[in-house]
Amino acid sequence: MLPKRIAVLSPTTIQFVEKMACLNPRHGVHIVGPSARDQFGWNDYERRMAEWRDLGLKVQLDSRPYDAIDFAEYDLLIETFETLEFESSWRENCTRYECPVIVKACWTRHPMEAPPGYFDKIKSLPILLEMPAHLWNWETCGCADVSLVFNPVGDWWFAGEWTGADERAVMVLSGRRKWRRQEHHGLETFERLAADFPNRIYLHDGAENYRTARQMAELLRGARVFLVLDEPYGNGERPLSLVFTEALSAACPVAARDLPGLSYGDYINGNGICTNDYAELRDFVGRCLDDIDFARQCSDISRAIARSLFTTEALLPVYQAAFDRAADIWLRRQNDRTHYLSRPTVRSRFNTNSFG
Amino acid sequence: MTGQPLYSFVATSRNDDHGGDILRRTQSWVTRLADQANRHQVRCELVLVDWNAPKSRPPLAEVLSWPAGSEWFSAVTLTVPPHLHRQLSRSNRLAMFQMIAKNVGIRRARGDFIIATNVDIIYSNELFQWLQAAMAEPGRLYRSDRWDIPNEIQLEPELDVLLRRARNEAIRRNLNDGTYVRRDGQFLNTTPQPFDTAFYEPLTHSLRQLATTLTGGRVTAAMDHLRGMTETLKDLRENYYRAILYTKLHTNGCGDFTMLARSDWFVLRGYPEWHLFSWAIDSAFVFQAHFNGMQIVQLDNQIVHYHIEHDNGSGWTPEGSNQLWARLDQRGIPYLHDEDFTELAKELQCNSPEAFTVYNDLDWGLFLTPIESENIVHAGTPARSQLRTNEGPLKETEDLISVCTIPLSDALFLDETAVRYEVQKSQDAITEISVETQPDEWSSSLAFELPMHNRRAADYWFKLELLVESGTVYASLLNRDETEFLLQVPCQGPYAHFREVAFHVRDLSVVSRLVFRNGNKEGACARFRIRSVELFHEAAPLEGNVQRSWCAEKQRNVVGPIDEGVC
Repeated sequence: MLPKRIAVLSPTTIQFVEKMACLNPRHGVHIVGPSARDQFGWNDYERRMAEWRDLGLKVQLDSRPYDAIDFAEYDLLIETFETLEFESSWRENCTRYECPVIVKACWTRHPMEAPPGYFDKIKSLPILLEMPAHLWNWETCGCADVSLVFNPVGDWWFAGEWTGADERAVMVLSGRRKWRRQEHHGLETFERLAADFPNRIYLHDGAENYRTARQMAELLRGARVFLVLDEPYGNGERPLSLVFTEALSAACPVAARDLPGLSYGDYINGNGICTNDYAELRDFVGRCLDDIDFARQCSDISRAIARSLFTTEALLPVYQAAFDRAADIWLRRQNDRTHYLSRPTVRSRFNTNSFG
Repeated sequence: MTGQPLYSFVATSRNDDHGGDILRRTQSWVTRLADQANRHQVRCELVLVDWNAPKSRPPLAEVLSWPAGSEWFSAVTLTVPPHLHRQLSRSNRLAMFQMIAKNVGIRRARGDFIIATNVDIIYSNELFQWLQAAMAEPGRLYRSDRWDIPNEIQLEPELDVLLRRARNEAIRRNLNDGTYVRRDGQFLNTTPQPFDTAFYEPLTHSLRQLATTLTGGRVTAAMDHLRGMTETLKDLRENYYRAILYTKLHTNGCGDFTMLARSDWFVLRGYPEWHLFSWAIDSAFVFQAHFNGMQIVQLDNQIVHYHIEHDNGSGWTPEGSNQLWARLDQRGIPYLHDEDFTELAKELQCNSPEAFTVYNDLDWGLFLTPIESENIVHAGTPARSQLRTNEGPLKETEDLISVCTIPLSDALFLDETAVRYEVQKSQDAITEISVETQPDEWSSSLAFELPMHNRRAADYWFKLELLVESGTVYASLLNRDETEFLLQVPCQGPYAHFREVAFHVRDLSVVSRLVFRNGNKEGACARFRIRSVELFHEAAPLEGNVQRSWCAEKQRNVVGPIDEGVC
């Protein structure tokens, strides 16, 4: 059974809050901690509160400073590792361990620069990652319970039928002129497609033109094909982008580039293409745009894949297991403080050249 | 390979002939591990770390033959090039940092359980049956007994014959309570008992000293000695209990088989990365696991592994240990001493059970450095013969910088009446000094004053061009006060031709002379010829050139972090 009172540590991204709320439709989540002070609105929960209510998601906000919050009131706290970057006062509070905790690391490559006390706290907790390329880093740094877990999309993505009626291919990329100015993120491929299919390739930039979650679902249900042209960060650092999971759930056919790291090919089987060959990519997009029956076949498969992988129902057992492990570790740390995973780490006084 | 390996066997080596026949033994390890994995249908991964690969030799991956890949057996080689080795302190003196090398493999191994082992090991059927039963659990460190077998048994072509002979013809058994050596068909424990070594013998020694002091009528000194003994007894008591722990934790031969869950290796951060000869670091790791709250599990006494015997002095054997220590001292290679180990154990004991003691930072196992890897065997790969063979002698660069050559004309003839000297030109017109020592053991014959100028804080090396025609000569370094010899390098003749004798001294400022002494017992003279004495200092280790980046990238055959953009 899911914990009743789940807290999500603030600041974190609005998407993450939304997806965690999807996991627990009955009781929802509490966002606890100071509000964000970011310039791009990544963490602006207020903007989404009404929308979430409309979607039936239960989200409550407690924006008091950490000092004023009693985490022991919760059955589970979901911390985002990146909160250390978002809010400096978390550093003074991050070692607090007052209820079961799981940790989500969205993009942090490894825990090596975590405050030592915080690393000690989280090393045996369930750590959920989004990027496969980081799994090795986190595991081999001594985090005992690291896994790659995707986010549930939310039921409204499955609510309506796919139409493809807009007869266009859609790419979604936020912040093209804001935080992504130095990076191309597949835009050159987008431009080539736009040249090959004039007026039929559309880029939605959420930072320029905000749409609600329902509006996004509508946008993708009307698209003939969804384009995933993003670049991996570094080498292989790619999350399974939320909008890809949402596009599949909205029953969109997909055309993706096949790049190192996370391969979208693992989630495409008869519903799209994953290739680095531009001609192949272009041909697939063209066929979807020109042949609605073909696109509809792909669409049915997309939705079936999404149902099996990205629904709350599909992902709940994975999260439930992580929550259970967090509860077990909480109990163990209370009852068996000398267990090897419960002990605080101390550095020996003997170093590399202490001898000889 | 289908799926994740259940066990990774991690070992390290280099193509430098160490131990006499290293390639043959490594080949036995590779071949027999594959045989056992396939026979018992256990998913195994072999991880071989080619550390500081000599530039004059082909890499290990090319000089070994590789078995076919299968569902049960895969192999990966990881290559740590010399420039990375050179970044470590003392790398001029030690070509292999065994434990750091193993850490490179451990950190990149994929098995659910990782077995740190060595390249001269063959695993018994019983051990593989236990592995196949998959009974291991996290939170435990598993140890298996090592039986030493004659070198030639590895050549048996049939695995069953090999294993039968190994079981029947083992020459030593390294058990938790000591090393048992076969004598007249029986295995006798040759390891002194902990009570004797840690308590009885030191106490007896102390009492003898007291008796000597009293006999000399030095009552005040005797009283001081007695008072001091209260503390000594406390230490001895602690030492005794620690010595008992050695046996309880089965550290005997633990470098050849130490198995933990992968995640536990990572929690412990691998072996301590001390820049030392590997002696006893594996034991320190077992102690670390124990005091940090892991359970040490000793497998049944039939679940053993076999160690292929190597040459004396190349690694530790009871019979060759003195040679090994002499070689290490001569080359200035540091290693853990008993006192060091006692201090380590004390610290672990003191921190336990509240804290978890670690020695390494999170970047252990060269985490921040891209390491070249080759998935040399995987499902579907055919067996592969060796691609290359070694040609010519091993050439290694030493990175030594010449300080000076001490002229032979500066030689001091210490007893011209009793010692025969001759300064002569050889057939090839090279000047040399020919010496016949006095017959007394330890008598000094020839010396060189060391230059005092230009001494700087660096590790120094002496290199002598020496031919010992008969007997044993010690090249010895005398301290500044001329009261004791800081180092004595045995040069045992007869040599067929001139040899380079090299030895290390850490601090030249404490040395006054290089002295040649007679090392023969029973009144025999030694005869030797010397052509040159040269002094060098070590080049400083290379500055670290570690790339600060941390994404695993396997597609490009680079396992480990790489330097790329920002998320």
